[in-house]
Parts: sequence; structure tokens; C-alpha cells
Amino acid sequence: MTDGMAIAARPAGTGRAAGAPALEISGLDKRYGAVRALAGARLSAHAGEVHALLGENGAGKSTLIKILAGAERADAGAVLLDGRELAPRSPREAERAGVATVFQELSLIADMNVAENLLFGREPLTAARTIRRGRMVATARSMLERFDVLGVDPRVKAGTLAVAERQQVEIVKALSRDPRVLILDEATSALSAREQRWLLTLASQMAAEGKVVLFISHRLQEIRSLAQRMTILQGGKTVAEARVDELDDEAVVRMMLGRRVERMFPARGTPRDEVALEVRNLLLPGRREPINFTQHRGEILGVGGLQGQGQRDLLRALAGVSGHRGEVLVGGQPRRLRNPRAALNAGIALVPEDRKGEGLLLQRSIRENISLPVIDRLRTSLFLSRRAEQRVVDEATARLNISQGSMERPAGTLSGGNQQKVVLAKLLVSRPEILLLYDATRGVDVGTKAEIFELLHELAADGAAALFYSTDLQELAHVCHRVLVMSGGAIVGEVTGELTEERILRVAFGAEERKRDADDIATASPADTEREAQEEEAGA
Amino acid sequence: MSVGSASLMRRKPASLSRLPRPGISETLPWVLLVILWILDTSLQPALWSSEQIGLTLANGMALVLVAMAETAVIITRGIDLSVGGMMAISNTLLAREVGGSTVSVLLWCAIVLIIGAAGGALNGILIGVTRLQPFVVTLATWSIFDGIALWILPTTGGSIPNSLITLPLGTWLGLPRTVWFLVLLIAIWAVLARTRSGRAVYALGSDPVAARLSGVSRRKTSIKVYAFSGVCAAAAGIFIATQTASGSPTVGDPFILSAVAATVIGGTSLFGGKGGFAGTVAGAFVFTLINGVTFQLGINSYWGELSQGLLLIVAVALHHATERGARARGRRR
Repeated sequence: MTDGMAIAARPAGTGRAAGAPALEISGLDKRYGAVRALAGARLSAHAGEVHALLGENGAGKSTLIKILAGAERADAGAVLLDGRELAPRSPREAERAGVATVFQELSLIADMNVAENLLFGREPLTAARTIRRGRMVATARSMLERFDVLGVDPRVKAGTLAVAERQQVEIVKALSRDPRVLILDEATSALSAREQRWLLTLASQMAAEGKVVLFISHRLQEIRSLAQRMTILQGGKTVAEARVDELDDEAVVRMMLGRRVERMFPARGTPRDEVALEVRNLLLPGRREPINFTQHRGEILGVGGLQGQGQRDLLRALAGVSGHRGEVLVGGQPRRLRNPRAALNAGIALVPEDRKGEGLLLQRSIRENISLPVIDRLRTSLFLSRRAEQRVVDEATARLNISQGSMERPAGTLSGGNQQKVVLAKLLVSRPEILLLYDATRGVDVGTKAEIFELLHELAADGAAALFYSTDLQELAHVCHRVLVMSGGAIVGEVTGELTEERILRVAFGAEERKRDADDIATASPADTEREAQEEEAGA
Repeated sequence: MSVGSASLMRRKPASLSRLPRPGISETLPWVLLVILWILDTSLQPALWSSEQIGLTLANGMALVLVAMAETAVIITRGIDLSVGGMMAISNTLLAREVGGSTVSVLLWCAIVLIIGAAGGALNGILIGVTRLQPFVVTLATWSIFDGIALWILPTTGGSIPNSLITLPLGTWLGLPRTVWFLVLLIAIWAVLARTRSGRAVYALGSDPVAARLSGVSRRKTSIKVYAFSGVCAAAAGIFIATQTASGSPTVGDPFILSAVAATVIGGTSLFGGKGGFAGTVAGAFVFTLINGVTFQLGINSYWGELSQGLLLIVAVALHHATERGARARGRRR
């Protein structure tokens, strides 16, 4: 089993890009029914280059990648890899031709363990063509070690891994095939800051070995630090091919959108005096430290900290998904959030992390998805009033600028950004007083993100409160009024005043350091944490 | 921003606590089987003999074979209703055509198994290539196969040579031949499950999209798994011929849903990706024994079916409960 594990930590090469491009795409066309996903797209990337592919959701990036990866076939156009035609009919063919893809929808099989997933289809065999299991685990372990993924046991089922771990395993699976072209489709969005650095290092190593790395990301900062050149798609066409330093952020965003966006982050309003939400001694499942905080109407309260510190549990508890112990007061009234229906009745709505699984009925129409939460109100006698339904749907969609034509299309046919807008529209119809957002902007394009933030501020101005969790520090710093920092299932700090990414990160890291150094000091008052963080900052 | 970020990452491999343990799901059908067996033999101690055990196994063997077919198919999130029709084709064809000579017996057994593979492959092609629903496809082919069986042998009849009838009887190396046959089946499954195709079957059922992105061909895997199902059904048709000593065009139908029940009791999930033949074997015998037990208890035979139904619900509820428990344990850190 020597194939598939050829990446060695060689010193970085020159990463120069000269001569004919290694990967050349021209005139690529693809239609899905009436929708033209690609309309003559082109792209050329040289060996040794990290090439960024940008575009709004629905611009055709995913389609282009699927064609390269053999998951879809192009209607017209040519793809040349090292001068040879590449038109894979299946993912396996693409893999044999040297294209490895880290998919956005993860390709791991939840019921199989990590080793079985990593070596899928190329398991070590005995003479009788049966799989050598013991050998497989050892091979998988050395693969994980080679790519510096520690803390993932190859015998563990993939389904029990955290999202970030699954993404790492996915990346190792792709890299270990020693591809000629590595496609990273939004691969960093599920990762925390440290894991992102890990991936970016690996990607530049791959490029240094003379491979082509195609990098899809919505984070311009990342693209600038990693990629040499970029291609921008808009409406299925290539609108720019340039070196990354040739275009500034505004120019890139303008080209992606084909129009000017005023500002990514709208100005923040002022929270009101009335208390919207008060949480007293809330205990999360499996945790011992109680959570206390108060949130005012019109306030966007950030929830930060390193990944997996209980932020998800907190939001799910408030949304009535997991149940809770402790008191929750909504607008001064104590509420028991036994189930999501109870939370909705209390005016609390959750925008979940997994929009496909938890947020939408993918096979039902946009209209049905939006009106579902208020379906009881739309009944006239025995039947639903179609007109009342239409009014509710129109109202919600007008506010969100959902641009996908008919409301009768199944929600599953929309692009990621538009799906997220439908989730939001669906929540708006029930007029929530408290909006919980769990990584709601993950994998969403810049334009939609700006619209989501805009909407959030509008709702806040109307008096709603929002609890906002994001893996993106920049968003926390620019969207929220105040940020709570969580660690080990408890709130360990609070950042107020002028929010910067650095200050939030410092409190988060500070909390982790303390947790490690002094296990006996379990809690720190928020005020302490912040003072310390500021002292640290001053000392640095 | 290098605020001790290196040291921060020295976290424990959290995944260690998530190692899969042999779950209750795998042992549950066997526990049920042991309980029923003890009950059965204590009610009638005469059953506790090598001969009687051989007989019990022989009575359940056709169901085990059909359930083996169903298990493989259900793991891919499919279902195969046509096993009843295929069993009837194999049974009637054998009864009509097989002569008395050993050569002829071997030849016709082989022919019947090949027909099973071909009929199953037809299901697989229809399902894997045209993407039709397995339920609908096999509902149609069930009817077609039943029709063919009626054409082969309109009424119960034909003849089965003695050499075939006595094959499952008697002992080998001190154990009933049926025990050896069961061991052989389990071994076949164990080997197949450890091949790449076997992994593909599980992968397809567990997550069709991820499986495809990992290089599994839906078409090839469907054809293989339904062909396997057809072979098992044909083998069940042969086996039932040795018991009834004749052929019948309606022999297979009662087995279809019993096989699904045995599979589910054995811990294979109808949502695909989980389960295996070992549980199914236990499930099949649990399903047959419960009838015997109610009979021994002197309860009206109507209660046999009722208790089968209750058993099915209890088993499924238990599997569901253990699975939820396991998932909750896995999520916790």
C-alpha cells in the first residue's frame, strides 16, 4: 500500500507558475432544466499554484467542481489536465485521473469507522480478496499521523466525530490519494482557526510539490494569504482571471455580485432598556456549571469561544430541542422550553446549523416551507386558505430578496445561500422576539451574508433580540453589540465596548489556558476574565 | 496571535471514549433465541436431542435462506418481494425436471441457482439503472415470477428423488447436517461482508450520496446484491423441495414477509447500512420457535401469529432504544 500516501513534508518549493497551464477549462456549459448553471466558464491553473475560485452562491462554482470530480457531466466545453482530455463519468474515474475533491457535503459514511472510510475502495486485501482489517487500522493511523491529524482514532465510527474532525478526515482521505489536482470546496468553513491553519499549510505544501490546488472559499482573507491567482464566476460565466494582488476586496466583491454592495456589515443600532431574555442557572446536558446572562431587546449578543465549548448546546436548549434545567425568562415571563413548539410559542426561533437536515423540508416547495410554522393560523375552516398563505409568504420573501423565481420550486433545488434565506423567511413569519442563529452564515456567499446581517439589524431595530453564534470572528466582532465567551459548557468571559477579533480571541484563549493550568478554579466571573484579557492585551 | 496556541492543542484524544462496543443490538436476537429455546425444550424435553435439533434447523432453513437474501437487500435500503416468486420458480422447475441420477440432480440444482442469479440481476438492473423504487420493481417481478412458476407447474406435483430428500437429514462428524449447512452459510456471509463489494453494499445503504462520492457504483452494487438475493431464494426453493418432496407454485409467498420480519428482529435496520446475517439467523429461528412455544403451551394456534406480531414490535422497539442509547453515548464528550 504505497499508493495514496505520497505527501511528504518536503521544504516548500518555489511555487512558480510557468509554461502551459496544467489544468485548462474552456467553454464549459451545463444546464439543469431551465436553469443555466454554467455558460461558457473558463479557468486555467498552473502546476504549483493555489488557484482560488470565487463566486456568489449559484454562480456555478459547485457545478464546475462537480464536473471535475465526475459527479456531473458537462453539456459542452473542454477540460484539459496536462494536455489530456478529462471527462470523468463517475467520481471513481475522476479519482483515477488524478482529481481529488474535498466535498462540501461530506463523503464520509457515518456507520463506518474512520479507517474504513479513509481506505474505501482501496482496502488492503488478502489472497482471497477479503479485507485485512487489522492492517487497515494501522494504515489509517499512519495516514492520519502523516497529515498531522492527532486525536482521531481510526476505529471510531465517522458518525460520532465532531464536524471539524469529520472535515479533517475528509481532507486526509483526499490528500492520501496523491492527486494531481486537489479541490478544496469550502473546506475551511467547518474548521476552527487552528485547523484552518493546518489545512492552509497542507495546501501550500501540495502546491509546492507541483500540484494544482483549486481553492473555493468565501473568506477573502484566506484567499489572499494562500492563493496566487483567482478566477471569479458570475452567473455561470468567468468574469475575471487575475493574480490575487491585482484586485482589492471591493473589486472582487463587485465582480462576484455584478453590482455594488454598499457595506458588508451594516451599522449597529442601540439596544433598548427592556430585558428580552434572562437566563438563570441554566444547566446544559452533561455540564455542571450554570449559565447566567441577560439580553436586552434590540441587542445582538454574540456567543464566541473555541469550537465545541457548549455553544451549540446552549442554543439548542433555548430552542427547546434538548430540554433544560434552570430558569428562562422571556420578556419577564418564566418559560419552560420543553420542546421546539414551546420555544416558538415563547417567541424563540432557531436558525440551525444543518439547514438541509434541520431547517428545511427539501422536497417540499419554498411556499410550504415558509408557511409551515404558522399553518394553524392559516386555516379558515377545514382547509388552508391559499390566499392567506400567499400573503404570509410574499411578506416574508419581499423582505429577504429571495431571487429564485417560482415559490413552487422544491427548496432542495436552491443554492446554499438562498436555502438559508428560506430558513430565515420561515422563521420571520412567526415573528420571533428572540432569534437564535447557529453558524447561520456558514457556506453562504458574501452577498447573502450582507443581506442576512442587514435583516438582523432591522429586526433588532424593531425590538427583537438575537443570540448569534459564528465560527467567523470577524462576524462576531462586526455584527454583535456584546460577545459572551464560552468554554467547557460555561460562560467564562464577556467582551464589551469596542469589539475586535483579537480581543474576542484573547478571552477565548485566556479561558482555555486557565482551564488547563488550574483545574480546581472552575469558574471565573465575567468581569475578571475581561480585565485579565485587557491586561494581557496591554502587556503584549 | 500565538497566545499559547500550540499548548492549547494538546488535548486528549477525545474519540477514545467513542470506540464502538459490541452493542446490545447484536446480542439481543440471540438472547431471545436462547430464552425461547430453553422454554421450548423445557416444555418438551424430548426436543433436546441432536436429531430434534437437526429437525428444528431443517424446518427453519428455508426461512433462513430467504432472510439471508432479504438482509443483504435491506442493508442497501432496498427490499426484495420477488424472493417468493423466485423460490416458486426454483421449486417447481426442480420438481418437474430433475431426474433420479446424481448428475441430473447436480445439474438441475446448478441451473436453478443460475436462474435465481439471472432473475435477481434483472431486479438489480431495473433498480440500479432506471432508479425505480425497489418495492415497486420487486412487487412486479414477484408477480411475474409467480406467473412463470404457475406455467412451469400449475398444481402441486412433480417428484423429488430420494437422494435429495435425505440430504439434509442425518449427521456428519457427529452433528446434524443442517448445523453444518448453517455454519457454511454464516461463513459465506462473513467472507462476502469482508470483500470490497460487501463494503459497498453497506456504504450504499448507509449514505447513498457519500457512497457515490467515494466511488461506489450504484448500478453494479444493486445488480450484485439483487443477484445474490435471487440465488438465496432459489436455494430456498431447492431446500423446501427436499422437505415437501414435491413442487408447488405457491410455495414461496408465505416466506416473503416472514423473512423481512426475521431480518428486522435480527437487528438489520430498514433504513439501511446496519445489521448482518448473524442476527438474521437468530431472528429467523426466534420467529419460527415462537409458534412452537405457543403450541406447546397449549394455546390456540391463532395466538401463534399474534405472538409473532407482538414479538416483532418488541424486538424493533428494543433495537431502537439501544441504538438511541448508543448514539447519545457517542455524542457526549
